[in-house]
Amino acid sequence: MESTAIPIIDITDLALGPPGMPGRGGSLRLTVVRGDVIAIIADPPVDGRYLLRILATLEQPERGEYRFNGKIIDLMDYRRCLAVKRQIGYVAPDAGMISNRTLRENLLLTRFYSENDLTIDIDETVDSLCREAGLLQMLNRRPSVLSDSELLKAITIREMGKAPAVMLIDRPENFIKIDENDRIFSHLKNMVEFGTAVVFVSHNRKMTGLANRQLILTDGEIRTRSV
Amino acid sequence: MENFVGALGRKTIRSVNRLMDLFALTYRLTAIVVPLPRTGRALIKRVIVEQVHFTAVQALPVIIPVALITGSMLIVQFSQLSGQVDLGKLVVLLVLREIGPLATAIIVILRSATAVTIEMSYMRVLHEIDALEMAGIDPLHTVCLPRLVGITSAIVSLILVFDLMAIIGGYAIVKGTTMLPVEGFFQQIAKGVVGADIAVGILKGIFFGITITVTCLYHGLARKSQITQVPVATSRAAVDCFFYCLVINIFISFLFYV
Repeated sequence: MESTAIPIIDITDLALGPPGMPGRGGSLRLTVVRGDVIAIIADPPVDGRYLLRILATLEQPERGEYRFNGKIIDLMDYRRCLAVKRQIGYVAPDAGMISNRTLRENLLLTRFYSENDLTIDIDETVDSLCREAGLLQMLNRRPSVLSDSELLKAITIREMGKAPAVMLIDRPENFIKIDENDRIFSHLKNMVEFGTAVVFVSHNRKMTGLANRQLILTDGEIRTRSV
Repeated sequence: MENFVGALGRKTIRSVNRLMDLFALTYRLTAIVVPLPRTGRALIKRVIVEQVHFTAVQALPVIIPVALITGSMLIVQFSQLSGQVDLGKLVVLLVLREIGPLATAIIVILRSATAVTIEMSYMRVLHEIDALEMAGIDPLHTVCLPRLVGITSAIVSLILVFDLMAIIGGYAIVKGTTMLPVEGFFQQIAKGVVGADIAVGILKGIFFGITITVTCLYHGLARKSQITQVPVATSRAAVDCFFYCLVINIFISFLFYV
């Protein structure tokens, strides 16, 4: 029996148009529902990252109507996208940290803004994730002192701290171990069990094997494959 | 000839478009200044304080010596003239009305405008603006607005500091180190200063502050794909700021004094 739940993300009539190359691809309906784990296998890999940015409303597709929790979102108006972005976790090499703020302030940025209080501190979950990732002693330092994989772990922890409806991750195998003992991996699994959808780009078989659906992206054409 | 006219026309259209964009950004920012947004007020206030500290407090070691040198220089030169010339009034005319605001604007452009443009450019290139948006934070509120308020209030304060240091400090230096006839200097200043002079200085400060901030934010936040576009944007912002401030200065002076 098909679920009648409203998809978290629903893009209809999607056609990809990577920068400088408009008009590729056919029409497609792309939906992300609660608890989905979707692997994007892309050739060339830049298309996969581009699709993640479209899902995060950071880019506009060549064509397509974007709905979030059933509401149409105008991707041309960044202000209307802010409430949507707040519910999406985006983890990729091009997901930045504010360089003139400490790691602690970066992790707390959303709460500083929404709670209007600069005296709050990180909660227990974020604290234990930072401890596990070896970031605890770097919390009062700037992001520039982190290595690439530490930075991605920090960005992952920051995004998970938002309790997003969807997590979008670019090549998670580069910084997350597929191991129940890895706190970030097990926290991500818990989030999926509680309804968070995860969409990731990967070519790693072990990682893509965790998905319940695969999107094969070849030269701008998208095919879905259930696993 | 046709190519030249066509090129001139395209350049004109681009310049007009840029001016329209600047006015649009100015409108967007000034529309959210009053009242200050409720959400994120603590964060916004913190950035304002940081900006005021950088633009005003850290500029004092530059502004004060420049003001002292300028004031001393003017007093020395004009006191050499014959007694028909009203020394105090001349200093007021030049320092309060023109040199003070312009010199302050130039120093702020050299220090803060370039720094803000570079900072915004790096935030754009390194996807920090995207990071703010993904946190559900409007960059206009937490990045642009504090800089507008901070830089504008800093410039107004610095103009007042410049004027005071140039006049009082300049007088003290000349009186203390030379035998030049500067008696009655302050009486002449008191007779020469009118309310409009102070108001003009503050008005110029406000307009310079808005112009410098909006121009730097515009060039800094313009879409860039590479780091090498950052210095180009910075120099363009500095030149534009300088030109716009000159035009605004002459416009306000004409409005009040012609």
